[in-house]
Amino acid sequence: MKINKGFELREMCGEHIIIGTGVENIDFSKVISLNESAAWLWREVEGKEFTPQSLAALLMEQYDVDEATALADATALAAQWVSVGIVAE
Amino acid sequence: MRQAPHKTASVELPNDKFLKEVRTLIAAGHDVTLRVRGVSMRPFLEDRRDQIVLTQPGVVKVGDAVLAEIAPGKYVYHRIISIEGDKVTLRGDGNVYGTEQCRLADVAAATKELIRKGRSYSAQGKAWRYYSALWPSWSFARRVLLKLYRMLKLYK
Repeated sequence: MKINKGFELREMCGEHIIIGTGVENIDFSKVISLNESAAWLWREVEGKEFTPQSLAALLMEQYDVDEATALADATALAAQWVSVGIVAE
Repeated sequence: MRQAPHKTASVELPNDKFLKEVRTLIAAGHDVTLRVRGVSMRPFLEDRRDQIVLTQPGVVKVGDAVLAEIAPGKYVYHRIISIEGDKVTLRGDGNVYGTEQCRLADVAAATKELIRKGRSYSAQGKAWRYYSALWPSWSFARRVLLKLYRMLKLYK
């Protein structure tokens, strides 16, 4: 999977916000905000191909977390990104 | 403790900083959709229910609803009631007495579209223009109509 073109992670007022810069209209009534660890993952995989497994590996590198938890979290996050249309499978 | 990456709560950004960023995006040529906060543009726009699509201001005129910086970092989305030289006076449709002032350069965005109850109205379209022309500026009439609106909302 890969991040869809035109989506960019920005810092706004201390929050990590995904903005569709490729689109003409930026809709803040449907804004996507990422927490610290999700934003970190986003930056790691920007412009690259990734899988829930590779996300989990990154999580385990960065945080003190066991494999099962990392994979469950990564799978849930990847599914969420796909469901809101910012990542393509 | 680490927070699971998919656990993201809904966030509310502080208005002053957020609207400054919005202003930058608009200046860069984007249109920006915002959810309405507050009741000062009642009865057309309702708090948290409706949205507005903002665009670069161009030439603004009396009657336009605009996003303006009325003091450093303080933004309102109100209607222009007069322009004298560089001095712009604004007033929310839902406000009976209060007005605000700014300079022309402080007008950060004009309205492109209004989304009321999920239905979209062009700022250049008939419906919004009729409403804009018909909504009274006379404080007494406003007070009565806004009171009626609040009563009707209570019974809904």
